[in-house]
Amino acid sequence: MSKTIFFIFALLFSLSALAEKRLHYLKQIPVLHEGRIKPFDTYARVNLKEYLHKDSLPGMSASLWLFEVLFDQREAYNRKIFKINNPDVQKILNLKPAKGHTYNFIEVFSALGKVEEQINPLLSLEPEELTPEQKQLTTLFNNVYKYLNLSRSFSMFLPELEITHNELAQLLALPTGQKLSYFEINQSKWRLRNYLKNSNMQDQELLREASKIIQFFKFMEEDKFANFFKIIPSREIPEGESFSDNPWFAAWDMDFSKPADVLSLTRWHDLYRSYKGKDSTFMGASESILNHALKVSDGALSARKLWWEVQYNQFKLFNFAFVLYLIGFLVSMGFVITEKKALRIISIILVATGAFAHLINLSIRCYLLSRPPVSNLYESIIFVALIGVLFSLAMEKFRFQYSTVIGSLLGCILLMVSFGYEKDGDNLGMLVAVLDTNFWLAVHVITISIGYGCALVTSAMAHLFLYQKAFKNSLGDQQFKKQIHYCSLFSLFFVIIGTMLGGIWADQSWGRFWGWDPKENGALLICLWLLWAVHGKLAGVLKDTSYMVLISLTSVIVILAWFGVNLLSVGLHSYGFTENIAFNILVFVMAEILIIGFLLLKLMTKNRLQSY
Amino acid sequence: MSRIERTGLKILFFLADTKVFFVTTFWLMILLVLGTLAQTEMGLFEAQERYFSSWYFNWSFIPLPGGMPTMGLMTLGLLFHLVLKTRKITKKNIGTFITHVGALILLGGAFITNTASLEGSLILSEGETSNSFELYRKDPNDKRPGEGPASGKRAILPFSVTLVDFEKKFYQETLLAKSFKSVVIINDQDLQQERTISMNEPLRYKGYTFYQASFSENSQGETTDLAVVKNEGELLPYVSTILITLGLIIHLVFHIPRNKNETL
Repeated sequence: MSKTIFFIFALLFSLSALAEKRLHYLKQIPVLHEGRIKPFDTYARVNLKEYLHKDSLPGMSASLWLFEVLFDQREAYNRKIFKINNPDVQKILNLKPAKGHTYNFIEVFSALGKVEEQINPLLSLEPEELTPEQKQLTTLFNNVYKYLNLSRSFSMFLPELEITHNELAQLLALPTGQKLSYFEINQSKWRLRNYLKNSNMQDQELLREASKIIQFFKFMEEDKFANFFKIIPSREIPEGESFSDNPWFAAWDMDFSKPADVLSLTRWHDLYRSYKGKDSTFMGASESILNHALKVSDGALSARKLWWEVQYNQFKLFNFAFVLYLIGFLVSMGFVITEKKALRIISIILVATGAFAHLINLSIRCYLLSRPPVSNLYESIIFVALIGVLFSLAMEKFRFQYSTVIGSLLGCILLMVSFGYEKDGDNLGMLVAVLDTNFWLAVHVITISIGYGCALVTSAMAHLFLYQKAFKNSLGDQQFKKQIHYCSLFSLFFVIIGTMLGGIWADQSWGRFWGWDPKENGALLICLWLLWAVHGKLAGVLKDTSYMVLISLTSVIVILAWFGVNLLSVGLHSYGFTENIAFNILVFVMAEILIIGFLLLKLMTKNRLQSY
Repeated sequence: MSRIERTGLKILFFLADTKVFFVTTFWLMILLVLGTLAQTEMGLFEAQERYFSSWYFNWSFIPLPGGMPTMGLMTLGLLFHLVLKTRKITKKNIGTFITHVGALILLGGAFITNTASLEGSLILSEGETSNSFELYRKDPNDKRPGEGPASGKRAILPFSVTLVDFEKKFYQETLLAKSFKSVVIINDQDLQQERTISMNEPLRYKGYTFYQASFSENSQGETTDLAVVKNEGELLPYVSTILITLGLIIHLVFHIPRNKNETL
């Protein structure tokens, strides 16, 4: 029985693997989108994510889906890919509640057509002026337009017109009895032109038939609006300009009277025709498109990077790391409860493996983008998560028993937060000029992020200290206290140096070391907070418990400085507003205050609070 | 020792106490939060003047100490602490000693920058030459005309600057800026040289730093907005960063906690 199930699974797996194998080269074909040349696969995922909030369909990869949209609309238009979660929006559009809240193109397109007058005035408004429903409605409208645009990208290949007149077909050297496409007829257009120019004895009936072709051409050329899908690189790069600064073209951008332009579409035409054909023909056609683009780019495009990006999309190692952290956390909690050593060792292995996957994926990102690991908020979350996990694991040096509890919890929470940011389209995006690669900037951001990670771990350790003091019958382990103090100093080191390196970056870039910019102030606040706690302890103003409470609260300060600053959106550093972030920060801060307050209360009632 | 001398010494020792730092840091954190929040309402420049480089500010009608006295007291405290409380340099305290010297230099640098630096902007359209720039306002109560932080006062440069060309680039298919660049000629007596100022790569010449702050476009062409800074204390933060890094590393290395069953 189990063998049969295994066999079925193996078969299903290999079948889907076969279908994916067919797309091997297609996935790597470069497309220019949002200022970055990315593989077809990424482009497909980013698009699908915008419509469906997911980057694949059940049993269908994003690449296959996009291919269908481009070349086989009959199937594509019936796929349920537009997610409309909001029941109010469903009501406005007069759509029946559907399973998974997803609708196909035909449903949504006709529904939008009926309320066009309602939507049109909204489109010219700023997003801030719209209600949530209106915003969703305009987003949907734009998405449907984009989808329509995409789906007409290669309409010149669609067989639409049948030539019934035998002599005309002969004249054009085209077959009768089958539908022909714009692209195919276009290649014989010169014969008709020659005939009209040279022949004196023009056949009236033939001319009537020929005018149908001209009408058909006019009709098809209305699709020239469909130019979102930029897949054809500039053929000639002006002297002194880089490949990436030159425009790319969509199929309909081509001039169909120029043979060179038509020629660049032939490869895509071959691909279109091999769609239903044998795997080898299909793969050959897609490989030739890929190779041609690489050749034209003259070394500016890297085949290896395109391949790696496809793998990066496929394997999603951050998700893998997240799962390992999660299991690691559960196992480590098992250790906390049962105190079995084996569980602790298993949790270390799990968390360390997760950290390894995490590190590998981060390195792939750096390779793909040719830039240091942290340059936007999304990347900083992933990086801080890794630092947190690694720093916790390093606590093993102190034989700190709960290193994996803290490490895996931090890894889980931060990666989960980062997944929220992955929804925003391409997470390998480009940077605005100010934040583009600069040595001091890179060093500054990496250092301060290490500081954030260490400070969060230290704060978690201080929580644990308070918990032990409140619930276990100990006065607080002296050793543990020293370790926490050392970790605070260690975090302080990275936060202070990171902040000062930020000043050096600012001085190098703008000629001033410090400008009281919100992000700078945020970093300084963490420095001052830790300095305050450490010096308070040294001056004897703060006793153990108060010191630990302050160190516990470092997490709140870090989160405020790290995320809260983006809410103020003044100054150069704010990376842009993300919805709901204020609410999440508030929840976190309240939770921390409640937890720490509760521990403190418990301590006080136990009369353990000898003095402040 | 006279009574005055004794009181003086007492005050110095009082200032040298770590508690002074504890109190001033706390107040500085409050200023930092107030100043940062205020930036959303009054803008970066005004908030900075009100909270960080002021002697006092009025909270409704109560005058409260601003950044100047807070950081001043912090600096004095640190100075006296280093002078009066350092008895012997040992393996245990050399790290903190170096770090504190670094911090003192940082705070000193901040005062020099605040009192003796020039900041302003130089707006040039293509082909235009100028040998002066408009200063930013120093005093928030200064209500002379001028937009934003601009004061209407100009400072003379010991050379002149001509804008040859302004260039901007966007990422393909987006409105996301990729780079801005101003090509200028510096005319210093008989010497002329062409230099480029771009985002993150300012031009440094004779103690003046020019960086690409902004630009504008109209039918006549492009105009570049260069920020100009002259700061005598520019090197101090670098020295301070090196000292603090070094000091903290030494301290951390000498203070690694031992594992259990070992004495610290």
